[in-house]
Amino acid sequence: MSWLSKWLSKWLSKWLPNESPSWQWFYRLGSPRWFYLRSGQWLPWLSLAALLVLATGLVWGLAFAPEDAKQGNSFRIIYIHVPAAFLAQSGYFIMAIAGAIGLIWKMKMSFMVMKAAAPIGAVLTFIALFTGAVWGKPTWGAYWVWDARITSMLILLFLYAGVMALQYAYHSVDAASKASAILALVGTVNIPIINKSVDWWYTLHQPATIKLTSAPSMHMDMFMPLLVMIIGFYLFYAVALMLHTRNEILRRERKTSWVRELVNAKAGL
Amino acid sequence: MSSPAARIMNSGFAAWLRRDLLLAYRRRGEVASPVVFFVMVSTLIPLGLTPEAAQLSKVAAGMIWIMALLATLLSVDGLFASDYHDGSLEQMLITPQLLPLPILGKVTAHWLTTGLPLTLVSPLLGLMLSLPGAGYLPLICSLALGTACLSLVGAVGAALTVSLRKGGLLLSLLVMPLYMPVIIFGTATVNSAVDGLNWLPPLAILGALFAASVALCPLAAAGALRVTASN
Amino acid sequence: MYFENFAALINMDGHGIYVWVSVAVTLATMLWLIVAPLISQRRLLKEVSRDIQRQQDRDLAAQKASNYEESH
Repeated sequence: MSWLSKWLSKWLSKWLPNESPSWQWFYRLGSPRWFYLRSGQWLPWLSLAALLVLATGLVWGLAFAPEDAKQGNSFRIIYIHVPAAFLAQSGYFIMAIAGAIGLIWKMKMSFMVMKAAAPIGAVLTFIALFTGAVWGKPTWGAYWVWDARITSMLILLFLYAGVMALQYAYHSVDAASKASAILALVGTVNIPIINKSVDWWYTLHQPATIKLTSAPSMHMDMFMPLLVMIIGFYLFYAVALMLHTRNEILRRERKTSWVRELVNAKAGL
Repeated sequence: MSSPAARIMNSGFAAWLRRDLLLAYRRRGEVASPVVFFVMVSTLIPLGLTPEAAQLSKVAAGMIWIMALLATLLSVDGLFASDYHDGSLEQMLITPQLLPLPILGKVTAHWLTTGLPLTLVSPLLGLMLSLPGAGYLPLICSLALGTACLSLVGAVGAALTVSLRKGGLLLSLLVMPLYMPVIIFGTATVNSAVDGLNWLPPLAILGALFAASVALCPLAAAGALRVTASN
Repeated sequence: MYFENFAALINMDGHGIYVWVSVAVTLATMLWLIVAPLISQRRLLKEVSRDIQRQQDRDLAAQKASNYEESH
Protein backbone atom coordinates (compact mmCIF):
# COMPACT_ATOMS: atom_id res chain seq x y z
CA MET A 1 0.00 0.00 0.00
CA SER A 2 2.96 2.33 0.44
CA TRP A 3 3.18 2.75 -3.35
CA LEU A 4 -0.22 4.41 -3.16
CA SER A 5 0.91 6.93 -0.54
CA LYS A 6 4.05 7.75 -2.55
CA TRP A 7 1.99 8.30 -5.71
CA LEU A 8 -0.53 10.43 -3.84
CA SER A 9 2.21 12.52 -2.22
CA LYS A 10 3.88 13.08 -5.59
CA TRP A 11 0.58 14.09 -7.16
CA LEU A 12 -0.26 16.38 -4.25
CA SER A 13 3.16 18.03 -4.17
CA LYS A 14 2.64 19.04 -7.80
CA TRP A 15 -0.31 21.14 -6.75
CA LEU A 16 0.91 22.31 -3.36
CA PRO A 17 4.37 23.38 -2.14
CA ASN A 18 5.94 21.03 0.36
CA GLU A 19 5.75 23.29 3.36
CA SER A 20 2.22 24.43 2.60
CA PRO A 21 0.27 24.86 5.82
CA SER A 22 -2.89 23.40 4.28
CA TRP A 23 -1.65 19.80 4.63
CA GLN A 24 -0.20 20.18 8.08
CA TRP A 25 -3.61 19.57 9.58
CA PHE A 26 -3.64 16.13 7.99
CA TYR A 27 -0.32 15.09 9.47
CA ARG A 28 -1.13 16.65 12.82
CA LEU A 29 -4.23 14.49 12.95
CA GLY A 30 -1.86 11.56 12.98
CA SER A 31 -0.52 12.53 16.37
CA PRO A 32 -2.50 10.91 19.19
CA ARG A 33 -1.44 13.61 21.64
CA TRP A 34 -2.65 16.43 19.39
CA PHE A 35 -5.95 14.65 18.79
CA TYR A 36 -6.46 13.98 22.50
CA LEU A 37 -5.84 17.57 23.55
CA ARG A 38 -7.83 19.13 20.72
CA SER A 39 -10.82 16.80 21.08
CA GLY A 40 -10.86 17.60 24.78
CA GLN A 41 -11.38 21.23 23.80
CA TRP A 42 -14.04 20.53 21.18
CA LEU A 43 -16.09 17.98 23.10
CA PRO A 44 -18.08 20.28 25.42
CA TRP A 45 -19.29 22.41 22.50
CA LEU A 46 -20.01 19.47 20.25
CA SER A 47 -21.92 17.65 23.00
CA LEU A 48 -24.01 20.74 23.69
CA ALA A 49 -24.79 21.14 20.00
CA ALA A 50 -25.73 17.46 19.68
CA LEU A 51 -27.98 17.62 22.74
CA LEU A 52 -29.78 20.75 21.55
CA VAL A 53 -30.33 19.52 17.99
CA LEU A 54 -31.49 16.07 19.12
CA ALA A 55 -33.85 17.52 21.72
CA THR A 56 -35.30 19.95 19.18
CA GLY A 57 -35.78 17.27 16.56
CA LEU A 58 -37.28 14.77 18.97
CA VAL A 59 -39.78 17.17 20.52
CA TRP A 60 -40.71 18.52 17.10
CA GLY A 61 -41.19 15.09 15.58
CA LEU A 62 -42.95 13.43 18.50
CA ALA A 63 -45.23 16.24 19.60
CA PHE A 64 -45.59 18.81 16.85
CA ALA A 65 -45.47 17.06 13.50
CA PRO A 66 -48.76 15.88 11.97
CA GLU A 67 -49.58 12.19 11.97
CA ASP A 68 -49.51 10.04 8.86
CA ALA A 69 -52.81 9.42 7.09
CA LYS A 70 -52.29 5.68 6.68
CA GLN A 71 -50.16 4.71 9.66
CA GLY A 72 -51.34 7.04 12.37
CA ASN A 73 -49.01 8.06 15.14
CA SER A 74 -46.72 5.03 15.01
CA PHE A 75 -45.03 6.60 11.99
CA ARG A 76 -43.26 8.93 14.44
CA ILE A 77 -40.74 6.15 14.97
CA ILE A 78 -39.35 7.27 11.63
CA TYR A 79 -37.65 10.14 13.46
CA ILE A 80 -35.40 7.60 15.16
CA HIS A 81 -35.36 4.71 12.71
CA VAL A 82 -34.24 6.58 9.60
CA PRO A 83 -31.41 8.62 11.19
CA ALA A 84 -30.12 5.53 12.98
CA ALA A 85 -30.14 3.49 9.74
CA PHE A 86 -28.46 6.37 7.90
CA LEU A 87 -25.70 6.66 10.47
CA ALA A 88 -25.26 2.90 10.65
CA GLN A 89 -24.48 2.83 6.93
CA SER A 90 -22.34 5.99 6.97
CA GLY A 91 -20.58 4.70 10.07
CA TYR A 92 -19.42 1.63 8.19
CA PHE A 93 -17.96 3.79 5.43
CA ILE A 94 -16.27 6.03 8.00
CA MET A 95 -14.77 2.93 9.59
CA ALA A 96 -13.59 1.61 6.23
CA ILE A 97 -12.11 4.97 5.18
CA ALA A 98 -10.26 5.20 8.50
CA GLY A 99 -8.93 1.71 7.87
CA ALA A 100 -7.86 2.62 4.34
CA ILE A 101 -6.05 5.76 5.55
CA GLY A 102 -4.31 3.68 8.18
CA LEU A 103 -3.19 1.10 5.62
CA ILE A 104 -2.04 3.64 3.01
CA TRP A 105 -0.36 6.23 5.26
CA LYS A 106 0.49 3.81 8.11
CA MET A 107 -1.18 6.12 10.60
CA LYS A 108 -1.89 4.36 13.87
CA MET A 109 -4.26 7.21 14.79
CA SER A 110 -6.48 6.25 11.89
CA PHE A 111 -6.56 2.63 13.09
CA MET A 112 -7.66 3.84 16.52
CA VAL A 113 -10.54 5.75 14.94
CA MET A 114 -11.49 2.64 12.98
CA LYS A 115 -11.52 0.52 16.14
CA ALA A 116 -13.65 3.13 17.92
CA ALA A 117 -16.15 3.41 15.06
CA ALA A 118 -17.04 -0.29 15.07
CA PRO A 119 -19.09 -0.63 18.28
CA ILE A 120 -20.83 2.71 17.71
CA GLY A 121 -21.97 1.64 14.26
CA ALA A 122 -23.05 -1.77 15.54
CA VAL A 123 -25.18 -0.20 18.29
CA LEU A 124 -26.78 2.20 15.78
CA THR A 125 -27.58 -0.77 13.51
CA PHE A 126 -29.19 -2.50 16.47
CA ILE A 127 -31.26 0.62 17.19
CA ALA A 128 -32.37 0.72 13.55
CA LEU A 129 -33.36 -2.96 13.66
CA PHE A 130 -35.15 -2.66 17.01
CA THR A 131 -37.14 0.44 16.07
CA GLY A 132 -37.88 -1.10 12.68
CA ALA A 133 -39.26 -4.20 14.36
CA VAL A 134 -41.36 -2.22 16.84
CA TRP A 135 -42.66 -0.08 13.97
CA GLY A 136 -43.56 -3.18 12.02
CA LYS A 137 -46.00 -4.44 14.64
CA PRO A 138 -48.73 -1.81 14.24
CA THR A 139 -48.01 -1.37 10.54
CA TRP A 140 -47.75 -4.92 9.23
CA GLY A 141 -48.95 -6.92 12.23
CA ALA A 142 -45.65 -8.72 12.90
CA TYR A 143 -42.46 -7.77 14.67
CA TRP A 144 -40.18 -9.21 12.06
CA VAL A 145 -40.87 -9.08 8.33
CA TRP A 146 -38.13 -10.05 5.91
CA ASP A 147 -38.33 -6.96 3.78
CA ALA A 148 -35.38 -5.61 1.80
CA ARG A 149 -34.34 -2.86 4.19
CA ILE A 150 -34.48 -4.85 7.41
CA THR A 151 -32.59 -7.73 5.79
CA SER A 152 -29.89 -5.34 4.56
CA MET A 153 -29.63 -3.85 8.05
CA LEU A 154 -29.24 -7.30 9.55
CA ILE A 155 -26.44 -8.14 7.12
CA LEU A 156 -24.80 -4.82 8.02
CA LEU A 157 -24.91 -5.87 11.67
CA PHE A 158 -23.14 -9.10 10.76
CA LEU A 159 -20.48 -7.15 8.86
CA TYR A 160 -19.87 -4.98 11.94
CA ALA A 161 -19.74 -8.08 14.15
CA GLY A 162 -17.14 -9.61 11.84
CA VAL A 163 -14.87 -6.55 11.99
CA MET A 164 -15.14 -6.38 15.79
CA ALA A 165 -14.53 -10.11 16.21
CA LEU A 166 -11.42 -9.93 14.03
CA GLN A 167 -10.11 -6.97 16.04
CA TYR A 168 -10.29 -8.88 19.28
CA ALA A 169 -8.99 -12.17 17.88
CA TYR A 170 -5.42 -10.99 17.35
CA HIS A 171 -2.96 -10.35 20.17
CA SER A 172 -0.72 -8.13 18.10
CA VAL A 173 -2.34 -4.70 17.84
CA ASP A 174 -0.69 -4.07 14.49
CA ALA A 175 -1.99 -7.28 12.89
CA ALA A 176 -5.46 -6.76 14.37
CA SER A 177 -5.70 -3.24 12.94
CA LYS A 178 -4.48 -4.17 9.48
CA ALA A 179 -6.62 -7.31 9.22
CA SER A 180 -9.76 -5.45 10.33
CA ALA A 181 -8.99 -2.66 7.88
CA ILE A 182 -8.76 -5.16 5.02
CA LEU A 183 -12.01 -6.80 6.12
CA ALA A 184 -13.74 -3.41 6.40
CA LEU A 185 -12.65 -2.54 2.86
CA VAL A 186 -13.85 -5.89 1.51
CA GLY A 187 -17.17 -5.27 3.29
CA THR A 188 -17.44 -1.78 1.80
CA VAL A 189 -17.09 -3.13 -1.73
CA ASN A 190 -19.75 -5.70 -0.91
CA ILE A 191 -22.33 -3.39 0.71
CA PRO A 192 -23.77 -2.01 -2.57
CA ILE A 193 -23.78 -5.54 -4.03
CA ILE A 194 -25.56 -6.91 -0.96
CA ASN A 195 -28.09 -4.07 -0.89
CA LYS A 196 -28.96 -4.44 -4.55
CA SER A 197 -29.17 -8.25 -4.32
CA VAL A 198 -31.47 -8.09 -1.31
CA ASP A 199 -33.62 -5.47 -3.05
CA TRP A 200 -33.88 -7.69 -6.11
CA TRP A 201 -34.56 -10.78 -3.98
CA TYR A 202 -37.34 -8.97 -2.18
CA THR A 203 -39.08 -7.90 -5.40
CA LEU A 204 -38.99 -11.53 -6.52
CA HIS A 205 -41.04 -12.63 -3.56
CA GLN A 206 -43.14 -9.57 -2.77
CA PRO A 207 -44.47 -7.73 -5.77
CA ALA A 208 -46.19 -5.02 -3.75
CA THR A 209 -43.56 -3.12 -1.80
CA ILE A 210 -44.63 -0.74 0.88
CA LYS A 211 -42.62 2.42 0.62
CA LEU A 212 -42.58 3.72 4.15
CA THR A 213 -39.98 6.42 4.00
CA SER A 214 -39.86 7.77 0.48
CA ALA A 215 -38.79 11.25 1.42
CA PRO A 216 -39.96 13.15 -1.69
CA SER A 217 -43.55 12.15 -1.12
CA MET A 218 -43.39 13.24 2.51
CA HIS A 219 -45.03 16.46 3.50
CA MET A 220 -42.65 19.28 4.43
CA ASP A 221 -44.10 19.40 7.94
CA MET A 222 -43.04 15.81 8.44
CA PHE A 223 -39.74 16.03 6.60
CA MET A 224 -38.21 18.99 8.47
CA PRO A 225 -37.95 17.30 11.89
CA LEU A 226 -36.47 14.25 10.14
CA LEU A 227 -33.72 16.44 8.69
CA VAL A 228 -33.06 17.94 12.12
CA MET A 229 -32.85 14.46 13.66
CA ILE A 230 -30.39 13.30 10.99
CA ILE A 231 -28.12 16.27 11.75
CA GLY A 232 -28.52 15.58 15.46
CA PHE A 233 -27.53 11.95 15.00
CA TYR A 234 -24.46 12.96 13.01
CA LEU A 235 -23.39 15.27 15.85
CA PHE A 236 -24.04 12.49 18.34
CA TYR A 237 -21.93 10.12 16.25
CA ALA A 238 -19.08 12.63 16.22
CA VAL A 239 -19.24 12.97 20.02
CA ALA A 240 -19.36 9.21 20.58
CA LEU A 241 -16.54 8.63 18.09
CA MET A 242 -14.34 11.21 19.79
CA LEU A 243 -15.01 9.73 23.24
CA HIS A 244 -14.23 6.19 22.14
CA THR A 245 -11.13 7.29 20.19
CA ARG A 246 -9.81 9.20 23.22
CA ASN A 247 -10.24 6.02 25.23
CA GLU A 248 -8.36 3.99 22.67
CA ILE A 249 -5.56 6.58 22.67
CA LEU A 250 -5.24 6.34 26.45
CA ARG A 251 -5.26 2.59 26.32
CA ARG A 252 -2.50 2.35 23.72
CA GLU A 253 -0.36 5.30 24.81
CA ARG A 254 -0.51 4.93 28.58
CA LYS A 255 3.22 4.25 28.87
CA THR A 256 4.22 7.43 27.06
CA SER A 257 5.47 10.56 28.78
CA TRP A 258 2.74 12.90 27.58
CA VAL A 259 0.02 10.75 29.16
CA ARG A 260 1.93 10.71 32.43
CA GLU A 261 2.32 14.48 32.33
CA LEU A 262 -1.41 14.75 31.69
CA VAL A 263 -2.25 12.60 34.71
CA ASN A 264 0.24 14.47 36.88
CA ALA A 265 -1.24 17.79 35.82
CA LYS A 266 -4.73 16.52 36.69
CA ALA A 267 -3.53 15.23 40.07
CA GLY A 268 -1.71 18.50 40.73
CA LEU A 269 -4.94 20.42 40.19
CA MET B 1 11.72 -10.14 -21.61
CA SER B 2 14.07 -12.29 -23.65
CA SER B 3 16.71 -13.10 -21.04
CA PRO B 4 16.87 -16.77 -20.05
CA ALA B 5 16.03 -15.92 -16.44
CA ALA B 6 12.89 -14.02 -17.44
CA ARG B 7 11.74 -16.82 -19.65
CA ILE B 8 12.12 -19.40 -16.91
CA MET B 9 9.99 -17.54 -14.35
CA ASN B 10 6.33 -18.34 -14.71
CA SER B 11 3.40 -17.08 -12.74
CA GLY B 12 3.27 -19.81 -10.14
CA PHE B 13 -0.41 -20.48 -10.85
CA ALA B 14 0.11 -23.86 -12.50
CA ALA B 15 2.79 -24.93 -10.04
CA TRP B 16 0.64 -24.28 -6.98
CA LEU B 17 -2.45 -25.76 -8.66
CA ARG B 18 -0.55 -28.97 -9.38
CA ARG B 19 0.92 -29.03 -5.87
CA ASP B 20 -2.43 -28.66 -4.16
CA LEU B 21 -4.10 -31.25 -6.40
CA LEU B 22 -1.30 -33.68 -5.61
CA LEU B 23 -1.65 -33.07 -1.87
CA ALA B 24 -5.42 -33.48 -2.12
CA TYR B 25 -4.96 -36.75 -3.97
CA ARG B 26 -2.78 -38.01 -1.15
CA ARG B 27 -5.45 -37.16 1.40
CA ARG B 28 -8.44 -38.37 -0.56
CA GLY B 29 -10.44 -39.26 2.52
CA GLU B 30 -10.18 -35.82 4.06
CA VAL B 31 -10.98 -34.10 0.83
CA ALA B 32 -14.12 -36.17 0.26
CA SER B 33 -15.70 -35.11 3.53
CA PRO B 34 -17.44 -31.93 2.25
CA VAL B 35 -19.25 -33.98 -0.39
CA VAL B 36 -20.18 -36.66 2.14
CA PHE B 37 -21.41 -33.90 4.47
CA PHE B 38 -23.43 -32.46 1.61
CA VAL B 39 -25.22 -35.74 0.94
CA MET B 40 -25.73 -36.74 4.56
CA VAL B 41 -27.08 -33.43 5.74
CA SER B 42 -29.53 -33.38 2.86
CA THR B 43 -31.08 -36.43 4.51
CA LEU B 44 -31.86 -34.25 7.52
CA ILE B 45 -34.16 -32.07 5.45
CA PRO B 46 -37.03 -34.51 4.96
CA LEU B 47 -36.53 -35.68 8.53
CA GLY B 48 -36.80 -32.14 9.81
CA LEU B 49 -39.50 -30.82 7.49
CA THR B 50 -41.71 -33.35 5.79
CA PRO B 51 -41.33 -36.35 3.46
CA GLU B 52 -44.09 -35.13 1.13
CA ALA B 53 -42.82 -34.59 -2.39
CA ALA B 54 -45.03 -31.57 -3.02
CA GLN B 55 -43.67 -29.69 -0.01
CA LEU B 56 -40.08 -30.77 -0.62
CA SER B 57 -40.09 -29.64 -4.23
CA LYS B 58 -40.88 -26.10 -3.08
CA VAL B 59 -37.82 -25.89 -0.85
CA ALA B 60 -35.49 -28.21 -2.76
CA ALA B 61 -33.56 -25.58 -4.69
CA GLY B 62 -32.93 -23.37 -1.67
CA MET B 63 -31.98 -26.25 0.62
CA ILE B 64 -29.52 -27.77 -1.85
CA TRP B 65 -27.88 -24.36 -2.25
CA ILE B 66 -27.69 -23.82 1.50
CA MET B 67 -26.13 -27.25 2.01
CA ALA B 68 -23.58 -26.54 -0.73
CA LEU B 69 -22.73 -23.23 0.93
CA LEU B 70 -22.24 -24.86 4.33
CA ALA B 71 -20.13 -27.65 2.88
CA THR B 72 -17.87 -25.11 1.16
CA LEU B 73 -17.68 -23.04 4.33
CA LEU B 74 -16.47 -26.05 6.29
CA SER B 75 -13.77 -26.91 3.80
CA VAL B 76 -12.40 -23.45 3.07
CA ASP B 77 -10.91 -23.24 6.54
CA GLY B 78 -8.19 -25.69 5.53
CA LEU B 79 -7.18 -23.73 2.44
CA PHE B 80 -4.15 -22.09 4.03
CA ALA B 81 -4.09 -23.84 7.41
CA SER B 82 -1.86 -26.81 6.66
CA ASP B 83 0.55 -24.66 4.65
CA TYR B 84 0.77 -22.20 7.52
CA HIS B 85 1.58 -24.96 9.98
CA ASP B 86 4.35 -26.58 7.97
CA GLY B 87 5.93 -23.34 6.77
CA SER B 88 5.21 -23.48 3.06
CA LEU B 89 2.94 -20.44 3.36
CA GLU B 90 5.97 -18.35 4.26
CA GLN B 91 7.73 -19.78 1.22
CA MET B 92 4.79 -18.61 -0.86
CA LEU B 93 5.13 -15.14 0.63
CA ILE B 94 8.80 -14.75 -0.24
CA THR B 95 8.75 -16.10 -3.78
CA PRO B 96 9.37 -13.55 -6.52
CA GLN B 97 6.01 -14.33 -8.16
CA LEU B 98 3.11 -11.97 -7.62
CA LEU B 99 1.27 -13.37 -4.63
CA PRO B 100 -2.30 -13.33 -6.06
CA LEU B 101 -1.39 -15.93 -8.71
CA PRO B 102 -0.28 -18.77 -6.41
CA ILE B 103 -3.35 -17.97 -4.32
CA LEU B 104 -5.53 -18.30 -7.43
CA GLY B 105 -3.87 -21.66 -8.10
CA LYS B 106 -4.68 -22.88 -4.60
CA VAL B 107 -8.27 -21.66 -4.82
CA THR B 108 -8.71 -23.37 -8.20
CA ALA B 109 -7.45 -26.62 -6.70
CA HIS B 110 -9.84 -26.14 -3.80
CA TRP B 111 -12.74 -25.66 -6.20
CA LEU B 112 -11.73 -28.68 -8.25
CA THR B 113 -11.73 -30.83 -5.12
CA THR B 114 -14.80 -29.34 -3.38
CA GLY B 115 -17.05 -27.20 -5.59
CA LEU B 116 -16.90 -29.37 -8.67
CA PRO B 117 -17.75 -32.63 -6.85
CA LEU B 118 -20.61 -30.80 -5.09
CA THR B 119 -21.90 -29.61 -8.45
CA LEU B 120 -21.70 -33.09 -9.94
CA VAL B 121 -23.49 -34.72 -6.98
CA SER B 122 -26.27 -32.10 -6.87
CA PRO B 123 -28.59 -33.77 -9.43
CA LEU B 124 -28.67 -36.82 -7.15
CA LEU B 125 -29.77 -34.59 -4.29
CA GLY B 126 -32.30 -32.92 -6.59
CA LEU B 127 -33.75 -36.34 -7.15
CA MET B 128 -33.90 -37.08 -3.43
CA LEU B 129 -35.58 -33.77 -2.67
CA SER B 130 -38.08 -33.91 -5.55
CA LEU B 131 -36.64 -30.98 -7.48
CA PRO B 132 -38.87 -30.36 -10.52
CA GLY B 133 -37.32 -31.44 -13.82
CA ALA B 134 -36.80 -27.96 -15.18
CA GLY B 135 -34.46 -27.18 -12.31
CA TYR B 136 -31.63 -29.63 -12.91
CA LEU B 137 -29.64 -27.85 -15.60
CA PRO B 138 -29.94 -24.45 -13.88
CA LEU B 139 -28.91 -26.13 -10.63
CA ILE B 140 -25.71 -27.50 -12.13
CA CYS B 141 -24.83 -24.25 -13.91
CA SER B 142 -25.54 -22.05 -10.90
CA LEU B 143 -23.69 -24.34 -8.50
CA ALA B 144 -20.66 -24.48 -10.80
CA LEU B 145 -20.36 -20.70 -10.91
CA GLY B 146 -21.58 -20.20 -7.37
CA THR B 147 -19.21 -22.61 -5.62
CA ALA B 148 -16.34 -20.96 -7.50
CA CYS B 149 -17.42 -17.60 -6.04
CA LEU B 150 -17.75 -19.19 -2.60
CA SER B 151 -14.23 -20.64 -2.80
CA LEU B 152 -12.78 -17.28 -3.87
CA VAL B 153 -14.52 -15.22 -1.19
CA GLY B 154 -13.79 -17.92 1.37
CA ALA B 155 -10.11 -17.64 0.51
CA VAL B 156 -10.16 -14.01 1.66
CA GLY B 157 -11.69 -15.05 4.96
CA ALA B 158 -9.22 -17.93 5.31
CA ALA B 159 -6.34 -15.52 4.68
CA LEU B 160 -7.61 -13.18 7.38
CA THR B 161 -7.86 -15.92 10.01
CA VAL B 162 -5.01 -18.23 9.07
CA SER B 163 -2.86 -17.61 12.13
CA LEU B 164 -5.64 -17.82 14.71
CA ARG B 165 -6.18 -21.00 16.69
CA LYS B 166 -9.97 -21.12 16.61
CA GLY B 167 -10.08 -19.50 13.20
CA GLY B 168 -12.78 -21.72 11.72
CA LEU B 169 -15.75 -20.25 13.53
CA LEU B 170 -14.55 -16.69 13.06
CA LEU B 171 -14.07 -17.45 9.37
CA SER B 172 -17.74 -18.43 9.05
CA LEU B 173 -18.78 -15.22 10.78
CA LEU B 174 -16.61 -13.12 8.50
CA VAL B 175 -17.60 -14.53 5.12
CA MET B 176 -21.28 -15.21 5.74
CA PRO B 177 -22.46 -11.68 4.80
CA LEU B 178 -20.28 -11.83 1.70
CA TYR B 179 -21.90 -15.12 0.65
CA MET B 180 -25.41 -13.74 0.67
CA PRO B 181 -25.54 -12.23 -2.84
CA VAL B 182 -24.22 -15.53 -4.25
CA ILE B 183 -26.95 -17.57 -2.62
CA ILE B 184 -29.63 -15.05 -3.58
CA PHE B 185 -28.80 -15.28 -7.27
CA GLY B 186 -28.00 -18.97 -7.19
CA THR B 187 -31.38 -19.97 -5.81
CA ALA B 188 -33.09 -17.38 -8.01
CA THR B 189 -31.65 -19.12 -11.08
CA VAL B 190 -33.10 -22.48 -10.11
CA ASN B 191 -36.40 -21.10 -8.86
CA SER B 192 -36.90 -19.03 -12.03
CA ALA B 193 -36.43 -22.15 -14.13
CA VAL B 194 -38.83 -24.14 -11.94
CA ASP B 195 -41.41 -21.36 -12.28
CA GLY B 196 -41.03 -21.43 -16.05
CA LEU B 197 -39.32 -18.04 -16.37
CA ASN B 198 -36.07 -17.25 -18.12
CA TRP B 199 -33.25 -18.41 -15.83
CA LEU B 200 -30.37 -16.84 -17.77
CA PRO B 201 -30.52 -13.31 -16.24
CA PRO B 202 -29.82 -14.40 -12.63
CA LEU B 203 -27.18 -16.77 -13.98
CA ALA B 204 -25.61 -13.87 -15.82
CA ILE B 205 -25.43 -11.87 -12.60
CA LEU B 206 -23.88 -14.89 -10.91
CA GLY B 207 -21.35 -14.90 -13.72
CA ALA B 208 -20.65 -11.23 -13.07
CA LEU B 209 -20.11 -11.97 -9.37
CA PHE B 210 -17.72 -14.73 -10.40
CA ALA B 211 -15.79 -12.41 -12.70
CA ALA B 212 -15.50 -9.76 -9.99
CA SER B 213 -14.39 -12.37 -7.45
CA VAL B 214 -11.71 -13.81 -9.73
CA ALA B 215 -10.34 -10.32 -10.29
CA LEU B 216 -10.48 -8.97 -6.74
CA CYS B 217 -10.43 -11.80 -4.19
CA PRO B 218 -6.85 -13.00 -4.89
CA LEU B 219 -5.65 -9.42 -4.37
CA ALA B 220 -7.52 -9.09 -1.08
CA ALA B 221 -6.34 -12.51 0.08
CA ALA B 222 -2.75 -11.61 -0.83
CA GLY B 223 -2.94 -8.39 1.19
CA ALA B 224 -4.48 -10.25 4.12
CA LEU B 225 -1.82 -13.00 4.05
CA ARG B 226 0.98 -10.46 4.15
CA VAL B 227 -0.55 -9.07 7.33
CA THR B 228 -1.57 -12.23 9.13
CA ALA B 229 0.85 -14.97 8.09
CA SER B 230 3.82 -13.38 9.82
CA ASN B 231 2.07 -13.18 13.21
CA MET C 1 -48.67 20.95 19.66
CA TYR C 2 -50.39 18.34 17.53
CA PHE C 3 -52.03 16.62 20.53
CA GLU C 4 -54.62 18.28 22.77
CA ASN C 5 -53.05 17.45 26.10
CA PHE C 6 -50.22 15.54 27.68
CA ALA C 7 -52.26 12.37 28.15
CA ALA C 8 -52.99 12.28 24.41
CA LEU C 9 -49.24 12.67 23.76
CA ILE C 10 -48.47 9.57 25.83
CA ASN C 11 -51.33 7.54 24.36
CA MET C 12 -51.05 8.60 20.70
CA ASP C 13 -54.29 6.84 19.76
CA GLY C 14 -53.08 3.52 21.02
CA HIS C 15 -49.75 3.67 19.19
CA GLY C 16 -48.06 5.40 22.08
CA ILE C 17 -46.56 2.24 23.57
CA TYR C 18 -44.66 1.47 20.35
CA VAL C 19 -43.35 4.99 19.92
CA TRP C 20 -42.33 5.52 23.53
CA VAL C 21 -40.70 2.09 23.89
CA SER C 22 -38.62 2.83 20.78
CA VAL C 23 -37.66 6.25 22.10
CA ALA C 24 -36.76 4.82 25.51
CA VAL C 25 -34.60 2.01 24.14
CA THR C 26 -32.88 4.38 21.69
CA LEU C 27 -32.11 7.01 24.30
CA ALA C 28 -30.90 4.37 26.75
CA THR C 29 -28.46 2.82 24.27
CA MET C 30 -27.24 6.22 23.07
CA LEU C 31 -26.64 7.25 26.65
CA TRP C 32 -24.71 4.04 27.26
CA LEU C 33 -22.55 4.79 24.21
CA ILE C 34 -21.57 8.08 25.84
CA VAL C 35 -21.27 6.97 29.47
CA ALA C 36 -19.28 3.76 28.92
CA PRO C 37 -16.19 5.48 27.45
CA LEU C 38 -16.30 8.12 30.19
CA ILE C 39 -16.22 5.45 32.90
CA SER C 40 -13.49 3.62 31.04
CA GLN C 41 -11.48 6.81 30.69
CA ARG C 42 -11.62 7.44 34.42
CA ARG C 43 -10.48 3.89 35.10
CA LEU C 44 -7.58 4.22 32.64
CA LEU C 45 -6.41 7.52 34.13
CA LYS C 46 -6.54 5.97 37.59
CA GLU C 47 -4.42 3.07 36.35
CA VAL C 48 -1.85 5.46 34.92
CA SER C 49 -1.64 7.42 38.17
CA ARG C 50 -1.19 4.16 40.09
CA ASP C 51 1.62 3.24 37.67
CA ILE C 52 3.28 6.60 38.29
CA GLN C 53 2.91 6.16 42.04
CA ARG C 54 4.46 2.70 41.89
CA GLN C 55 7.31 4.04 39.78
CA GLN C 56 7.96 6.83 42.29
CA ASP C 57 7.92 4.38 45.21
CA ARG C 58 10.39 2.16 43.36
CA ASP C 59 12.70 5.11 42.63
CA LEU C 60 12.48 6.21 46.29
CA ALA C 61 13.31 2.71 47.51
CA ALA C 62 16.23 2.46 45.08
CA GLN C 63 17.45 5.86 46.24
CA LYS C 64 17.31 4.80 49.88
CA ALA C 65 19.14 1.57 49.10
CA SER C 66 21.98 3.35 47.30
CA ASN C 67 22.24 5.93 50.16
CA TYR C 68 22.58 3.10 52.66
CA GLU C 69 25.27 1.44 50.60
CA GLU C 70 27.18 4.65 50.21
CA SER C 71 27.25 5.40 53.91
CA HIS C 72 28.39 1.86 54.88
